[in-house]
Amino acid sequence: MNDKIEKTREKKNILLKITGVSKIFGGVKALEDVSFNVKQGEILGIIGPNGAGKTTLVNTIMGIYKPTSGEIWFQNQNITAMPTYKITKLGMSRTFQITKPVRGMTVFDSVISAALFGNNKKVPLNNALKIADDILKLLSLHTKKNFLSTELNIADLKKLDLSKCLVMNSNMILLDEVMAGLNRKEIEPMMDLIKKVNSEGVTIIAIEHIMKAVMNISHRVLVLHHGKKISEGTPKEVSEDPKVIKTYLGKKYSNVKGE
Amino acid sequence: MQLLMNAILTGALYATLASGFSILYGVMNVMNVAHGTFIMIGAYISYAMFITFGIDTFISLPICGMGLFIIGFVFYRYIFSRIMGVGIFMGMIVTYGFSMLLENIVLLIYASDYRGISAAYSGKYFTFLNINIPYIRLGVFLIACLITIILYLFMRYTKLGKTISAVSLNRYAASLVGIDINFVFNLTFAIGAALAGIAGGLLASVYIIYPQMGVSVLFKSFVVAVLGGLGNMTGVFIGGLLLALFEVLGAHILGPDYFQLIGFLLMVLVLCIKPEGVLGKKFFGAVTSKEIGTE
Amino acid sequence: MKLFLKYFEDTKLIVEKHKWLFISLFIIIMVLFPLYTSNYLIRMFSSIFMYACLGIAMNIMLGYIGYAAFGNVAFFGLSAYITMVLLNKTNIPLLIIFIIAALVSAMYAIILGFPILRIRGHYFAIATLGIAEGTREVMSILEITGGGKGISAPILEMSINSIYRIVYYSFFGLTILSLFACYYILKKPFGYALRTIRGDEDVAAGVGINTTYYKVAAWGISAFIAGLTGSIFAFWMGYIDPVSVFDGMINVKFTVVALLGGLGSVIGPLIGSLLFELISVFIWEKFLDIHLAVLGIIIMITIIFLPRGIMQFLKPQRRHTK
Repeated sequence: MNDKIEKTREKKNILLKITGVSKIFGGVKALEDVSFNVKQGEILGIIGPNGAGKTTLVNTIMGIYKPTSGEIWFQNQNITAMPTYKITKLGMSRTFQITKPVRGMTVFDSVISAALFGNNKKVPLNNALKIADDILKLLSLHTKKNFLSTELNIADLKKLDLSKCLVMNSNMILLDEVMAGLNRKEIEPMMDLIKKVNSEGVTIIAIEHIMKAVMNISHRVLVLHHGKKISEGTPKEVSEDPKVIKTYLGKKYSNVKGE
Repeated sequence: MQLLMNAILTGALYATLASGFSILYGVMNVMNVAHGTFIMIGAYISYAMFITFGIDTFISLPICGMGLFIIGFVFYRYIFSRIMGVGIFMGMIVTYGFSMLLENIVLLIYASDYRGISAAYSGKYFTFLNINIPYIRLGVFLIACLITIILYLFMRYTKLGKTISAVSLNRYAASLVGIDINFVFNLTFAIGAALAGIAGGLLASVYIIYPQMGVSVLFKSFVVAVLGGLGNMTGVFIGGLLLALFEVLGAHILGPDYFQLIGFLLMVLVLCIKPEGVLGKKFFGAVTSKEIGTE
Repeated sequence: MKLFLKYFEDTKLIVEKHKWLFISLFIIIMVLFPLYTSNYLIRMFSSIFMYACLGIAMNIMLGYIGYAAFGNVAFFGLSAYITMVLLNKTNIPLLIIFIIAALVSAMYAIILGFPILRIRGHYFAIATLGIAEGTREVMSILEITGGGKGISAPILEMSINSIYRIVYYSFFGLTILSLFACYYILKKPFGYALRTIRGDEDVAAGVGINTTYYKVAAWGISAFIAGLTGSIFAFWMGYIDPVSVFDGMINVKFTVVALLGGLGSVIGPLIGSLLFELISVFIWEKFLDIHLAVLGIIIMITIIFLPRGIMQFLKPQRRHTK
């Protein structure tokens, strides 16, 4: 009896459910039978060497690619074959690994656009303007709000991406290598930002390359290699998993505790 | 059966027509709207050689190629290079402007009427298995095949050809390895123009020419290139055969009025269903909304 | 020189501030225009406004949403034909005919839009050209449209002066309406959607924009405007045939007009059309033989040195500190 209650409670807490997802391009198996769940409110880190399929995973979850097999459930809805914009409106958004500044639009306009369309209901223009303004202030981008997106540096572009996710009131944000390209001084504030956003109730999947960052902020970590999941658990568990050490971390990192 | 033979003979010509266009798109991601006009100029060069010096069309082909090579080279060097890479349609507009200029020049020299070349062996043909094969068409066919083969060998086995292929596959990597991209582009543009010139010369020997023919030839080239896969050299050949086949069959079944329409319907269909063409290879950028550049 | 530039900038700011005043002035002037000028000038300005409309239609696709709909002339021609057929076979009032024809064009664009708008970039541009050619072919084959010989309108009980004036005011009215439509589109969320799609279609999808819907809608509007223009044109000419209404030159002209004016702006196409017509008339009179060449050269120069069109100069400079 207690088991059943426990199970239903767990079910309610699972925000994202990936089951048996594979993605094959031509002859290449970018993702092979990947399964995992993401609990509401947690930060799940996904690590793995280049080419492990991390970005493919994000693209597949977000509906840019259709999985060759498997299912993806978000907020108890089957989003496996849903178009990207619908998934966004349901409450999941992402940042881009290779930043995509929107040609010809200012920072402010880009965020307004997200505010207008990214929520589950259409937001009136006046509200969108205010929300966008507030978020930009929050992320210290307000001074640059009339710059063209193409004029920003990488750190600001990453913050812009994040601003867009925030104005969309997403329940879940997929950060695709958000630390990539940031220098040492910029990583700390970004980590704090992510933790802050998470503390407001947003579930986060952080795909990362930078060990220090991901091990530090994640509640749980998942390791991908050659498109397959090879390990899953707390940062400590994963860093001590011999499979992971062998293929990815190497002896130097086997004692990572986030220094 | 006769139809099939006609289709094959015409197909090779179509392939040559399209090859210049295809190579320009494949290497430089440029839609050369002046391609048809280049072909037209090649045709007129051939005509001029014939009328003024009595040079046979087949022999004047190298001159056509050379002439267009120079035109293409100069155009790229002084005009086109300035807008290279700025936006997708900039190239189209500039080449359009250039084509207007070229067309006007030809109009001034030859006026707006139709010209034709009749060589001594024009009407003659031989019969084989109940099919008539005009000598001229056979000649055109052979040369078209020859050009395609030479092009293929060039791209694959010569240093220059491999350099060009490298640039088309990955511009940035090529520049990192020390290849002078601008020079390669310049050369490729000239080669594309030269191919158009030669195709024009071939065209002149079997069809009637007029200054405004650029447009319809351009469309044909485009359809062929898309069918085979823009940028794909072997695809171009297949595309040419396919189009010729469809045209011949279509005209036979539906009547000659639908000749042009068939090409377009086919192309639009292909674009919707399989934009990479039959053998497709995309060089740069996504084609449809479904594809994103993968990393 | 510096002083001149400063005055220029200041003038721009003044115009910007009082733009409604200037716009009203302009409208009043152009409305009174036909009362005081010759038929020749009226025809010239009819042409200017016609290309302004076509340029606006093109601007919506190329400038706002970033899709090069080079084959928009298909809608122009289709509406022209429908107008002629309706004029000949029915007694429906003129204005209603215009609207029906334009609506049909819009429907045509919407239906075609679903498959065709999935294609991007160069391919899309050529696909639209294919549609233009295809539509032309169909028009020249059908019995009802007179085949290759074209159709004429029934003889109207109207003086040539009245016809010219009707055409002038129709084109002028359409231009003003379209400009206002564009102005509001840009300010509303619809405009944001279009511009985001133009900037980066994947990002647009990622912020919840249903790209297909907006692309189709934009093309529908563009086709409607182009269609209305075609209807008025048919009425003006009194006789149309496949070559004249699907002419590639029309295509080129309105693309150049949009480019010259400045893509993505609102009044760009109007200014572009004005400039273009003035240049054309000048060239036609002095350089008839080489007008194609001169036009071609102008196109090349414009694209190389003025890629953002004339509005580059006419818009006051944005000021922000870096």
